[in-house]
Amino acid sequence: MVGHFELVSGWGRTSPSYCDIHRPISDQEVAEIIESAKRTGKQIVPRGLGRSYGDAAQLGGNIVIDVRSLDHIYACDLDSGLISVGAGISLDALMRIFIPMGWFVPVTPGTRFVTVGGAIAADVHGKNHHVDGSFGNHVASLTLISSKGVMELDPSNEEFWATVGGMGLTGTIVRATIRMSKIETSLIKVDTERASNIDELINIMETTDDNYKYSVAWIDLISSGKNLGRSVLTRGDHALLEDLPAAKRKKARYFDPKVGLKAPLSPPFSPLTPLTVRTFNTLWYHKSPTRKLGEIQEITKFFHPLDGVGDWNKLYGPKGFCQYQFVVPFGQEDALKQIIDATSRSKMTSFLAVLKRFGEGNASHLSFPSPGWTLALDVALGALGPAKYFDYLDNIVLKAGGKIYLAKDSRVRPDLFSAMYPNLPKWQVIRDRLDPDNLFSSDLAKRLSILETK
Amino acid sequence: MNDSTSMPQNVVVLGGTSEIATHTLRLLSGRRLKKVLLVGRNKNALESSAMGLESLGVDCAIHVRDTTDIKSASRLEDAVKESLDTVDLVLVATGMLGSSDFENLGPLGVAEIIETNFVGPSSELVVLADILKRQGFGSIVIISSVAGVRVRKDNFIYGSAKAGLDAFAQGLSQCLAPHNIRVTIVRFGFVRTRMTKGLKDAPMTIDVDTASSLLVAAIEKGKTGVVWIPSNLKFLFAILRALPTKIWWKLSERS
Ligand SMILES: Cc1cc2nc3c(=O)[nH]c(=O)nc-3n(C[C@H](O)[C@H](O)[C@H](O)COP(=O)(O)OP(=O)(O)OC[C@H]3O[C@@H](n4cnc5c(N)ncnc54)[C@H](O)[C@@H]3O)c2cc1C
Repeated sequence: MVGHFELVSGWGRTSPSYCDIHRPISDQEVAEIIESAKRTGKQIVPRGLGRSYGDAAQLGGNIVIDVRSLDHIYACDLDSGLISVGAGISLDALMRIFIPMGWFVPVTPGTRFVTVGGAIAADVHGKNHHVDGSFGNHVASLTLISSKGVMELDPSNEEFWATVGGMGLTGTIVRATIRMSKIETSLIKVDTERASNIDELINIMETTDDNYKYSVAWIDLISSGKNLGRSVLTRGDHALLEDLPAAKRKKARYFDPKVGLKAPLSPPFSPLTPLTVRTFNTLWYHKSPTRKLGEIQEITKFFHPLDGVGDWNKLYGPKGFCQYQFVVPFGQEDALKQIIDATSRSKMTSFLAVLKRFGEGNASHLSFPSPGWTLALDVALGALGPAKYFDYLDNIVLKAGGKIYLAKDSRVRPDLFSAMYPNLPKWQVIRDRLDPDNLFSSDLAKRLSILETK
Repeated sequence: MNDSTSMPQNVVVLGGTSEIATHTLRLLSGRRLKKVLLVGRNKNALESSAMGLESLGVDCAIHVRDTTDIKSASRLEDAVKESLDTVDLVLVATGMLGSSDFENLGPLGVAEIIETNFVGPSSELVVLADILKRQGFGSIVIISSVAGVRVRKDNFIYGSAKAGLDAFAQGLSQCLAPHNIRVTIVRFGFVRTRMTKGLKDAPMTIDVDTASSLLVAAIEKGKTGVVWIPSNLKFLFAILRALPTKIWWKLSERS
């Protein structure tokens, strides 16, 4: 297998590195790349659609296995919703194929353009985490090619849980069997309501989130004072046939989203200035209905509004941007408010931020979701300020017993990372067993010393 | 690795005992700095610089350069491989002001100043650039000086060597850009250090603390190409560079 060098980075377009990219078209070829790396002494990282924000799916000077061509559907049971697919298939493809048949992906992140492998490796969550947990909860089994060879893993193996959330560091996932979730229509029945500040928001979410399968709040992080944390909550469930007007029931499971226009080629500066963002946030808040119940929305509008604009990440300018996402346990609402308050006072202008309540976590050692409040916000880089501001937030998060999300990270301090993930040493033991030669690594793993045992 | 705010973890410093370098490393140690390889000529001085950094929790290795050894380059490569997992930043801080009394210095004395400020760092940069190219990322920050922008009688040997290094760095920058390696040339004005001790302050003189925090700020902002510290020097030197020789001579005579 020959590869060639390409410059790769994550979605935030920061810290790119040149990597030797291999695009295997079969499981066999994946195994061959791994074998040949053993001989050449090169290291490997698997990569899907590169939607992690930082440096998780790159490895400067070494091998990237781009698994996107492993996109077959090996089996599907339309009665039980169990499907076996190649790890390189995207959730977009799964939705296009299976929604019309009445099956929805069990978990979808804010973009459809992630692979099944990436969804498992980062153990991604969606708006239904408080009800259904994260992606790993819906994986019945997976095939991993580690430096030890091919392994079939299921939730009874600890190697399975080291691979779920394991950020590609245990080996390359080549196949997975997933439990899809049954739907009657391709539409979502949505309730929208505004909350004029963070206290009101927390109160509404605590008392009524459990009435919905999907829930998320968009927060304006710029307004302060009595408007601090003003937000728009959108919550919903899959619409049932009976929720649709008779005329629409015929094509109830139609799903064929258009992929958005590309954003104008990378502008040399970011058009997202404090002024434009502030204006946008204000307009957006006032344009949202105070309360609107039972609106029927398309899946794309409800789950993936950003996918409508191709390459929107380029709008953040040439220095890229950082998405900061953390979770703090329930009971630590003060830490959450402290962060929202600090952000509104700081010069950081975050576009809309997203707040969600997580439910129970799973047995994965490095998985991000755990019961509590999770907030994600975007900040453009290339100026003084963000670095120290994020460091400041890290400390609040750690003190509150929380953690940051590896799939989004590009800058946390290594020692704080390991303090936030107390199961790291347990994970390291299992991963060392799977990869005694340290064949798998990543720029992220090096930056955070994830593989260095203390 | 460099993080997304351009903060390096592993750094190679040419001129490991330089005051600006030491102060810069101290600041970086409060950010993400993990390990440093200090390169220089004076073993004892390198060791004491290393001790200072170790006390801040930074792992240190030293490499004593011997410019008379033709194998010096490959020894540097080995030292880097042995001590650092990745090279995120190469900081070139080698500097020897010397005198400009060339008659007294003689050919060897002049050669030494040029060797230290220009020949040594340029040839070492060739070795390091190759390492960065192979690892697929990295940045190089080269400390240059306004002394090389418009040379004057008082420090022209140093100035001419810095001008050489500056020009070398500009070319290197162009060669390395397609390889994802960022080169930043930092033209400092007069910085009060051991090296400049006893000299009269020039316009816009700054102390080492200011110099190094401005340097770290430039790194954090992801600046590439030429950076002037302090930044107003850019405008001052646009004028000074345009002055007719006679006037420049008179002006530099008086200072
Ligand atoms: C607009 C947007 C919205 C998002 N919203 C959410 C959200 O709501 N919730 C959420 O959880 N995440 C969210 N994300 C993050 C994204 O879901 C994760 O980063 C996901 O892992 C990306 O999948 P990918 O296929 O692009 O993987 P990549 O980014 O290519 O890789 C991510 C990690 O998975 C590993 N990996 C990839 N493929 C394999 C494989 N076959 N075997 C082993 N390891 C592999 C890589 O090594 C890397 O560590 C969002 C990202 C974007 C851009």
